[in-house]
Amino acid sequence: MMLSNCVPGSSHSYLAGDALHGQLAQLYLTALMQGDRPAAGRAVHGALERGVSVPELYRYVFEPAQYEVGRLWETREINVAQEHYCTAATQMIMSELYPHIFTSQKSGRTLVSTCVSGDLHEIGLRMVTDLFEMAGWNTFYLGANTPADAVVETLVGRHADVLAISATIAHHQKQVVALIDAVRASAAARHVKILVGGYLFRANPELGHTIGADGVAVNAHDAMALADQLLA
Amino acid sequence: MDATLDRRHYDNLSRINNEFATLQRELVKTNAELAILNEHKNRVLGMAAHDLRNPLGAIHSYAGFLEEEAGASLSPEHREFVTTIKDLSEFVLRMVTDLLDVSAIEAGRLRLDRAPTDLVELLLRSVKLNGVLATRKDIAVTLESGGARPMVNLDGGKIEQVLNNLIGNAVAFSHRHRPVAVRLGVDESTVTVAVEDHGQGIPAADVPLLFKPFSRTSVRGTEGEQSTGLGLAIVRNIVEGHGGRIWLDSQVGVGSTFFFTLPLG
Repeated sequence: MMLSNCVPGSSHSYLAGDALHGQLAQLYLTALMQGDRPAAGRAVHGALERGVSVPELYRYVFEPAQYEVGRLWETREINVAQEHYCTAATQMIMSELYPHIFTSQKSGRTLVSTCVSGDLHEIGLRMVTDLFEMAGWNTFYLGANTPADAVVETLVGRHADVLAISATIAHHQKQVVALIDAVRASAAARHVKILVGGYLFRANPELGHTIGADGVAVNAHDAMALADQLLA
Repeated sequence: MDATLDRRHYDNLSRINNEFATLQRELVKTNAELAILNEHKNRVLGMAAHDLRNPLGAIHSYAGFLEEEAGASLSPEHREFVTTIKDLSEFVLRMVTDLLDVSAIEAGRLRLDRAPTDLVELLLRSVKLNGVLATRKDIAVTLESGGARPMVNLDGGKIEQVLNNLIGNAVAFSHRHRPVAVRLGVDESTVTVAVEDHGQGIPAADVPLLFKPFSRTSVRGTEGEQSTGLGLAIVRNIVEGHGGRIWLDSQVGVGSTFFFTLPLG
């Protein structure tokens, strides 16, 4: 599940200095490219102190920076080590913002989110889950190593309204299908609305419906609007 | 070959990092939920304690009136009933007051009305009051101020609460005839108050529990004195609220000395 419409293999940078918080995003990524995670962290915390909201940091700094990292890796301008470093550093800096995330007034709705087993590209879904949390949802992010029966158990135990599943490559399709089937086979969980997203579904938007999902989201805002619509 | 191996290593690192980030998210979320639950607990506790205090105060007062005014006309058995009602209602009243204090402190509502105060005068008052209560166990409570007369910017009521608690504990956990001494030390930046007893002492394993609310230690009052388990938690918060600190030295069978400091100036 991606945050916005990222074009694979794009030759254009995702960072524009004139975009909202564009200069901050450029400063952030430059620090990461120099291997200076503390400087990147300081840029983010400084912005927070100046009044930039956490959702804005997610949307206008972390998201375009991550897309840019992906683009640079695809065009071989950076190597795999740099790509992994930037992702890990962003995850760590995001985690420093958690105290700001888990304080919002709750709406009573619950989201459980998971990537299929083995998918390393989970930062997008993590961001989507955090944005749901900031919008008042109670969220449970299960990561990429939770077996289908444990996901179903969590849906039932947490009284979930929505399950969000993210997948990146075609190889993961079978696991998504198995997970959806497991949810539908459970009398206690089959009412849960299922949203799918990620590269796999953006590349083939019809696929989600074919395999039994209730909705296919192309970005976080889309995911939240879809979830509200499905629960209305 | 090397590139494949590198890739595998990086992927494994990513997996570990992802799991770490997921656990961290869960931890922060759980902590946030616990903080909210704690707030609810304090609010409920505060409301319950507040509603209980007035009727309990009335029970305690009426039992006292009965004991004083009608005591002579009661049978010994009925007089004992009245005394028990008075003593137990006093204990429960103290517990309710402590609960209110704890809930206020935990909710960040420890309010200190500080004013320059003659500390020795305050110590004398507390020693005198607790000395009267200690006569029941033939325990002498004394003050050694070394001639110092420091003026300290403090909340008199709250520091008196600290002293009453520490001296009260010293008496409660000491056997008969064992003296309790309150000592004052002064240097250029702080005053240190020590409350020393020659009681049972506190086992080392119990020491970390002492200043935590609702924790119970293995040490009991020597004549059945009851403890709410909240007093020292309140004491620590009051002392730290004044910018001081509190600690103790204790040896089982020898006794305990509780120290607390307050900043001067």
